[in-house]
Parts: sequence; C-alpha cells; structure tokens
Amino acid sequence: MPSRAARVTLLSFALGVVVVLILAATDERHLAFSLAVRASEPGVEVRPGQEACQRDIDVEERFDSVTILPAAFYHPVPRLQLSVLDRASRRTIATGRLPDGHPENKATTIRLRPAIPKGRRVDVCFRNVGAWRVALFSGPGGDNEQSFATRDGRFLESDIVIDFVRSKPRTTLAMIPDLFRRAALFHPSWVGAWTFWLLAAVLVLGVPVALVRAVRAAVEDERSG
Amino acid sequence: MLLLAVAAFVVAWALFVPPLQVPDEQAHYGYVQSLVEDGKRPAGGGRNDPRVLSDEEELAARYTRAFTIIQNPHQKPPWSATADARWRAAAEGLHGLGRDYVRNLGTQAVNPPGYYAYEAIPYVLASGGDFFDRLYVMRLFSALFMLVTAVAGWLVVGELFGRSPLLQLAGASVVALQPMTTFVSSGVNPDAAFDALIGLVLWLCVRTLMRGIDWGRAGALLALMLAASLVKGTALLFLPGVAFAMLYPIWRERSRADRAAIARRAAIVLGGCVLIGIEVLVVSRGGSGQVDHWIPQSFAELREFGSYLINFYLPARPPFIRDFPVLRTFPLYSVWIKTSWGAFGWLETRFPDAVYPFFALITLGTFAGAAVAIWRRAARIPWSVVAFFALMLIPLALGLHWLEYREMITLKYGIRIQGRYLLPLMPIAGVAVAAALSLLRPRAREIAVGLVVGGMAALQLVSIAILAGRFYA
Repeated sequence: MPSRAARVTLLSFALGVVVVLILAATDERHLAFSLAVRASEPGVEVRPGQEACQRDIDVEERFDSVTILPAAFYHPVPRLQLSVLDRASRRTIATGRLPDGHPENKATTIRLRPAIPKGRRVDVCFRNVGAWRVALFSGPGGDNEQSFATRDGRFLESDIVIDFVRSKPRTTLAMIPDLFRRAALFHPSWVGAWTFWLLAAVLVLGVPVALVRAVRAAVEDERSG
Repeated sequence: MLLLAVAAFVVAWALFVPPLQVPDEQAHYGYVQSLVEDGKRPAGGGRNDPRVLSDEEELAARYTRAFTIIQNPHQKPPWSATADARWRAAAEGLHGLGRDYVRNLGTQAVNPPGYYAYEAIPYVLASGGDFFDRLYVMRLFSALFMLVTAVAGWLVVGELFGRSPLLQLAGASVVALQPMTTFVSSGVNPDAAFDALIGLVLWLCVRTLMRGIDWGRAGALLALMLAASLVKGTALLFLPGVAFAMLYPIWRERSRADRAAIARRAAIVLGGCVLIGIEVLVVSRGGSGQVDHWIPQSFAELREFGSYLINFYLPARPPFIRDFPVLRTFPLYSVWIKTSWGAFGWLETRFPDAVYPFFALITLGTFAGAAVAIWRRAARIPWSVVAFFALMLIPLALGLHWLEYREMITLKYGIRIQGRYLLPLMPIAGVAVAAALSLLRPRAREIAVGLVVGGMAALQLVSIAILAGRFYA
C-alpha cells in the first residue's frame, strides 16, 4: 500500500504538471518571430518620400503584422506605406499602411495583407508618405545575421527593430511541437525534436515513479527503525 | 532513485538551454578551447577588457544571436532550419580552422585551470565534430558533477539525520533538485565542479566534527580543498570554516593527548591551510585584476564598507549612513533570494515577480524552524556544527561583498553579486529543511517530506517551462 508520503509526493508533482499545463494553455503569444535587434537609438531616419527597408529576412513563422518603434521628433508618426517583397522574384507579396496620428516612441503594429507564409525570404520596406520625417529605432548592423537595412537602396550600418507578429495569438501549449523543433536547432546531429519529446515523457512519467519509489523506501526504512 | 530523477533533469537542462545562455559560458568554453588548441591558459583578466574569442566561437555566437539576446527577454534565438543551415555552411567555410587564438577572455582568464582541464576531455573526445557537438558534450560532462553534488547533499544531511531516512531524503532532495544548481551545473561553468567539491568538503568537515579527527579523512579533505582551489579561487574563503572543523576536535580531545601532540596536530592543520592558500594565489594568478586591495586600508574605509553592508541587508537605510543608490532594491531579497531560487539564462529568465515573496517566506520559515529545532534539541545538531556552517557562510558572503564594494567604488559598477555564488553551501539548506521538519509529528512529517520531494521536482518542471517560454515561444 503506498505510503502517505509517497502519495503526497505524487500529488505535489502532479500539481506542478497541472500548473505548467494551465500556464501553457493560458499564455497567448502574438510574436511570430523577431530579428533580435537591440533597440539602441532612432537610427534609421526616413524623410518624406524616402524608403527604408530591412532586407533578406528569413520568414521563420507565418505572420500578418509587423511591430516597429518609430520616433517622429515631437510629432505624431507620419503616414507610412509598407510593402513586403519576395526576395527572389522582387514582387510585392503583401502591403499595409500606418495612418497619420500614431504617438511616437511607442511600439506600433501595422497590419499586412495577405499574411506571409513561413519559409520565404523577404524584404520589408517602409515608405514615408507623410509630411515630416520619422526615425525607426534600430540596433547595430549585424545584430541580425544575414538581413541588413537600406535607405533608398543604400546600405546602412544598422538593423531596423522589427517584430513579426500574428493578429491571432497562439497558446504556448499549441506551440509545443514548434518549441521542441526550435530547441533542436544549433545542436549536435544526434539531437532532434524527438529528443525533447522523449525527455518530456521521462520528466513527466519517469521522474515521479523514481521519486515515489525513493520516498517509499525511506518510509519503510524509517518504520523499520 | 533520487539520482535517477536528478540525472533526467540535468540532461534536460543541458540539452534544452540554448547555446551560450548559461552565465559566462562563452568565456568558459573559450578557456577550454585555449587550453586544448593553444596549449596554454588564455590571456585576459582585466575587468574592462573586451573578450575576443576564437573565430569559430564568434561565428557560432553570431549565427545563434547568442550575445544579442543576452538579458533581453523579448529577443529570441533563430527559429528556422534555414538559419541553422546557414551557420553550417559558414562553419564549413572555416575548414576546421578558427579554433585557436583566443585573444582575450576577460575576467574568467584568472580562473584556475582545474575545471577546464576536466572539460578538455569531452572537448577532445568531440573534436571531430562541430562547435555545438563539442559544447553539448561538454555540458553533459559538466552535468555529471550535479550527481556528485546530490550525493554530497545526501551525505551531509545523513551525517546529522542518518537515523531518519525520511528527513535525509527531504534534505538531500533540496540540494539535488534545486533548479539553479541544476541549471548552472548542466552548462559549461566551473560552478558545477565547485558546488560538488565544496559539498563533499562540507560532508567531511561535518563528519570530523561529529566523529573526531581521522587522518585518512583529513587527507581526503586536504585533497578536496586543493581540488576546489584548482577550480575557483573562492575556495580561499572556506579556509576559516575548514580550519575550524579540523581544529575543534583536536581541542576537544586536549585532555587525552599531551601538549606536544596537540601542537603538532594543530600545526599540520594550519600548514595544510597555508598550502591551500598559496595554491589559490598561484593558480588564480594572485587574483590579478579582481580587486585593488584585499582588506580595508583605513578606519574610514572599514566604516564605508559597513555602510555598504547596511544598505545591502536592510530594506531601508537608517539616517547618517552613506547612501549607495544601486543598493536601494533591498538586495538581501532582490539578489540573495531571487537569484538563488530562480534566475536562469543570464539572470533575465525568472518566475513571475509575485512568486518570489513565497520563496522568501519559505527560506525564512525553513531557517527559523531549523533554529527552533536546534534550540529545542528536536534536531540534535551540535553547536560546533552550527558554528562551522556560520564560518563557511560568513567569510564567503563577506568576501563577495568586499569584491563588489571595491568594484562599486573603483569601477562604478552596479550589483554584480548573484545568488548562485551561495549554491556551494546548498547542503546547509538541506540540513535546515531536515531540521525544520524534525519539529513535526511523524504523521505530519511524512506529509511534509512528500511535499518537499514532490515540490522540488515540480519546481524543476516549472523552471524548465519558463525557460521554454523565454527562448522558444
């Protein structure tokens, strides 16, 4: 018959599993992926009529919006026209616009239509169609390996801060297969997503069995003096 | 069985944490790389020197965004297989070169070479592979130390509560399943070896205090301390405690031995301590660049250091005490409690803020309960052992505080102390848990032990889930 201590061990571990599941089921994320550019300064200035782009971006996950951090020098953010271009064909595959009047220095999300599927390589371009200048927050060039920024086609020593988001969030629970796939990148070849499924099974099923047996043995030793 | 659970967790941590996202892992890897590829300890040591790693490591860090995502919880590593493939192509472009010539390692360059020599084994074993092959094999080798730490916890608690296997299990599981210890030990970080070695030192010292001096054990203790000082210079701060653990039994037996024998034994112990001290100073290059001077040089400086300690440990600064603005966050809580319970990655991956007060309450309750149990003799821990624990903790804390205080004054740094620096003494927390539980009646004690063992494992699980959310979602 399982001891009281063993039952409580099992129950408290199970409670931990339930907590993790509840947290994962209620934690909703809009972020599709980021370029991991550190927002250090409003370094990419775009005057009316100019266009700044972040080019050669890997689309790591499907997205339908982007979030930028614009500064407008004590003005509201001017109108911006967005276009997403397929890197290979140079064709515009999605567009969006930011109307006048958004406050500056705040993360601003711009919807794109249609959504961009995972797996492409794209350029994201911001054309200033307003009446005054805007500066997009940026980080040091090279923060994002491979992608790079340009203004009117000229290379810039900065990367633009852009987050790629989805308007409909996903829960962390729904993303578990993606989590394991992502965790297996930049690992030895003998590690794959399967490794993390296996480890998850061992942690959730094997660990409590081992602990319960340890507790049961200790109880028996304790009772036998 | 407890070790099986620990093994499962360390493998999970070692493989799940993204590359170079364990504190200073890039520098520790660079140290091993310098030993193996260049055949020498790396250059560096200055606090403000920029690190210049091997081309291979810099390349891997750039493609994994390892440095841009540090302490930046909003930023993520690359998630596409294309990025991984791009790194592989770039790494193949090095044609196996770019592993040597680690030009500057920063402060880690003054670390003693013991742990790195051990990690050279997996590095060499996996040297036919790429950067990540070597890094993850090194992590798994490092993780083996966590099993030793767990055993050490078991032995320390068992020495004091051996007649109660349940209490021993509860105390040992606190050491073995502490998430920060597991996290740090399963990365490339000398703390893994240091925590294990100091855990064993604690055990032998407690055993000596409980059973009297034994020269075989004293030799083992000397060997462990020498090994620990080959891993981290911090070993020096444990000398007062170790010396006490050896000298107290000699003094206790003074009526049964003649004066000459007592003096000879004490001289041997003190000689061993001096030997360890010299070794630390030699292998850590005299601690060069770490601190400008080792003790207060004037009464005014001593008084100012006292003000620093008051700022650190009190929630509000009393009048007429110098203000250290960076210490206004009540570091006793924000540093010791928060970052020893859970601050993963480069300290940025944490539990929700609302959770930490509970951790603080548990810590306070545990040590208060232990104090009551010892006072009431519910836990039969001799006062000499309590004094030994204090002598291990206080010099460590004071040494860390002195280093930080001098950095604040000379380099204008903010808080650099981290809770993980206390983790070598986790077996003391294990003893405290066992002592506190000894206050309970048998029926309640069984339930409490179940809560501790199951709760620590659940905490591990939640910690890994938080880490998953930080890096992969």
